[in-house]
Amino acid sequence: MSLELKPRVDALRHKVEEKGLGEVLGRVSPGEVASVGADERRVVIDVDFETYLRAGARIGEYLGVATILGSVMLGRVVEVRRRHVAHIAHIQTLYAPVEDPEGLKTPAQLVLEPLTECPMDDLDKCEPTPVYTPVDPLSIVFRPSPEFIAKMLGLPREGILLGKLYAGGFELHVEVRLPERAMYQHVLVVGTTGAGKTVLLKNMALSTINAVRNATVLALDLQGDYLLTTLPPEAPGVYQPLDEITVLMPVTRHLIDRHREDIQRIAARILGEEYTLLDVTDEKEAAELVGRALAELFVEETYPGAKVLRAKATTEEVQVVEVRAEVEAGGRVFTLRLLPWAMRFEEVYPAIPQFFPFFSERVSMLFRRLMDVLAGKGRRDIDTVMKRLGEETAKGERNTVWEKQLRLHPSQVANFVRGMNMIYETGLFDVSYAVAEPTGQRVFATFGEPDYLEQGGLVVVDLRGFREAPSVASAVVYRVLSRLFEARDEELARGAAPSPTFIFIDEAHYYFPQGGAREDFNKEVVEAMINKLTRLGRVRRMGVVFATHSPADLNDLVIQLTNTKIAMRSEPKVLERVDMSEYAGELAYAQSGVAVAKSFIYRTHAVTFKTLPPQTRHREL
Amino acid sequence: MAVDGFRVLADYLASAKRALKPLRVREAEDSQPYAVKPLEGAPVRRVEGGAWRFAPVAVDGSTRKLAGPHFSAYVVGVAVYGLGEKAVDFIPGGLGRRFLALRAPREVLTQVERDGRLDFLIVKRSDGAYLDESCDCTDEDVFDEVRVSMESEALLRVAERGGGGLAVVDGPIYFDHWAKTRLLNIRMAAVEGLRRAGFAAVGVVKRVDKSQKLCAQEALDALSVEVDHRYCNDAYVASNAAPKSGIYLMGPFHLSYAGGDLRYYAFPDKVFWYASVHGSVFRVEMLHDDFRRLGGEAEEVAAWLAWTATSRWIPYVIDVVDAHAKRLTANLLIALREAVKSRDIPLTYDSEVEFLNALREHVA
Repeated sequence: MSLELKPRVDALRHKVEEKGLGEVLGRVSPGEVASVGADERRVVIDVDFETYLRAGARIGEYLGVATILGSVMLGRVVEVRRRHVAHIAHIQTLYAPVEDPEGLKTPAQLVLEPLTECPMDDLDKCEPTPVYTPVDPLSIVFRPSPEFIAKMLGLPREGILLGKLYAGGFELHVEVRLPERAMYQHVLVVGTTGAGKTVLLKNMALSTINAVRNATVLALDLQGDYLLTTLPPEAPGVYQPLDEITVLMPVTRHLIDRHREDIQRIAARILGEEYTLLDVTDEKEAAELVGRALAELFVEETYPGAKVLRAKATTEEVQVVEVRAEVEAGGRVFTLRLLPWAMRFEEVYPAIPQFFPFFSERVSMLFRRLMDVLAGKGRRDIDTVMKRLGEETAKGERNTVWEKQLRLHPSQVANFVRGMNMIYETGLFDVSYAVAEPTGQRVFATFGEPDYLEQGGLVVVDLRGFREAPSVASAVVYRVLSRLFEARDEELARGAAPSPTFIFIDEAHYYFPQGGAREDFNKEVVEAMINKLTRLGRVRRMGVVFATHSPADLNDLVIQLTNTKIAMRSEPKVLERVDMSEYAGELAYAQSGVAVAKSFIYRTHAVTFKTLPPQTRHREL
Repeated sequence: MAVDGFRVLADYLASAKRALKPLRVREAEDSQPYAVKPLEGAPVRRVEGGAWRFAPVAVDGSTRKLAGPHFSAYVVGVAVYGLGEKAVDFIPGGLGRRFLALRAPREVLTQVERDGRLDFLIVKRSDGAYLDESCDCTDEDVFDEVRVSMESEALLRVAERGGGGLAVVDGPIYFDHWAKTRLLNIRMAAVEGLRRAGFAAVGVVKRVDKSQKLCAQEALDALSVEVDHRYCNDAYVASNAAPKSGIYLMGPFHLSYAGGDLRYYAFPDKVFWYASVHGSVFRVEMLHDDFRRLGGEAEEVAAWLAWTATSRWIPYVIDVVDAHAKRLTANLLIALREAVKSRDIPLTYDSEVEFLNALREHVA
């Protein structure tokens, strides 16, 4: 029996080469225990010096092992040992420091952690399993081909492209994808500023649109990153920039005030300089003109040097519903679908406590009655309501109608008044473009909410104007998400399969803070929204991708309810917060774009990858 | 390879019917008629620092014996440092295959000689005589025979690689005893090969307590050491010639064999130094021809070897090959002993002690 082993051992090498599994590097060391146990799997490999010098050896790289018992395995290098001959021979010179380069020609020892295995003779059909069989010394070790790695890691072949497999400091030609179904169980991306979160999210957004039929990607955009997805990158990528983008543009009273003259200037240009907006008498035409001017203003500010080739506004009476513009920018033409967005107080006030997280629990509960008491049978537009509020509070805190009728505690009244003031100051309600004329106020255009069912492709919620006003940004976001949720609910109720919707939330701690992080936020409202999105979203084919550099400030629920976590360069405490401490060594000083994706979806539980370069124009920090 | 071969060998040894008679013991060394003269005043000089300037090839053989009533197995391993792609190459290994000399009854030797699975065995001396019960030899003779052959084989491989430089051998350049002329010829063929390839051969002799080269009056005078000639040896002289702390070099001395004794006619002249490392001494020697060829560099080689002394008081490159060769023979001896014991073949007490020593070295 023993003498038959030699041909068997020799044949292993031929098999590896014959099957094209990869380049042979060495053998499992006969001088060490090759251990495959329930708790620990460690195999030491001897690589002769010449091969080591030529082929190198790197921590984290994947290697294949062909075992004497007929298995092939994929493992990961967890340690590389190098010893000078002086160390091997326990030699210490008395005086002369050893500067002997010959002594470097010792075999390199690589410590491998076996991950998965397959029978060598049934590799093509095999579904890789964890390592169950032993690894004998003298088993052949090879540097595997990308196909072998992909096969043995059981990497999904379809889904959203995250990047390329990254091992030993190199990108491999193996795509790492996240299947669509994992997206419905939500994703959390963490990483320090500059680690590459935004590039990853933008690339994922593009990939999602390409990979998932009829997908809507709703991106909450505080920095204007997603608005650039229609422009080409510096070097051509895997994906083309988008041909169409929908921008949900919150129009506030402040924005209108700030750009009143700009709108008139642009309107005049559209009209041919001889006329002004004020000359347009047809109400619908005037509203369309305001819409087009708003779109041009948006393009002017967002894509410097761009040109609007054509634009068409759609209105309902004087409400600007949509502006569709063909824009030439960055050497290409794309369609911009601009949806001016504002809220009508009368329509939304009953729901305000659900999307405006600034009222206390008690005030939220009584909000409708508070409004009823305040407004009575009168108009319920924001201006009228605020006027009444002023009148009432002028009576003193002990004499307000709420004190008398609802027995509210003064602190609750204060919370209500403060909240209403905040609501008013957002400028998000009952917004119109109006001009004072001698005959009175002339309303040229009003703004409202779009039909949330009729979205598709990339929808960017442009929150650039709210970078310094997180409460307003949150209010917008909560309202949009609630309405989107309701729209998917309607689809479900109709018996239709809800269209897949993916919500990309960069800087998620901004919108979903932990209790202590933002005291002015009502934790109940924040958590209700997270619950809605994550727990219930799964059924409605809604997936959320959260990203933050500061998971400590992020609500616990987000961390609990995201089943895929992607960590990029981060401090150890950040990784600890998302239960990925074991990757601290790999990620503490990782290159930008390098990430570990930990997900139930991967056979090896976690995969390290490097994001693709920006697939569209990217705003450098 | 070795394990399977040892099992086959053990089968043969188990079938041996006759015991071997004890071998004689070698006589004292150094009864050779040589003359030692100091060259250029033969000062004692302190070695103080210097660059790591040489990259020699180093060769050493290690020997171990395993014996029972019916046989003696002489295991030899040779380590070569700095030859090629690996830091250390070996015989047995990449440089050669035969490594075990077997002394046993003639019928056993003739049987194993015919068995192709035992191609690692040496059963005859280089003159063709079997290492059987009638062998007129000592254990040292057999070891010397095998080790010198294997080391010379290794030196020839060094010469084949070419490129020139230094080839440092653990032990004398050649055995300077008329009875070992055969070994001299083997070694000199290898040294000649080295020379053609541009190498200078350097010997480092660690065991110098049986050598009396420094006991020549001219040497003693040059070193200013007074000693009773009846009790003189090189270790004593060298360690008294140099201070006990620091590294010192004594020499060079020229050694030539007396022209009157024809048996020593073929022994070429050597030049040697003694190095004292905190009182521990070793000899560095080279052929006089190489000494002339190297010029002033020759002494630098000796000084460098002394300067790189290790905690085992020997030059670094010698320590490297010595440690590797010892480890190799320890492993071989352990495997051989296991195979022999598995056939219930009794071993001598010394062999069991040798086995335990090998085990200790293996673990270290």
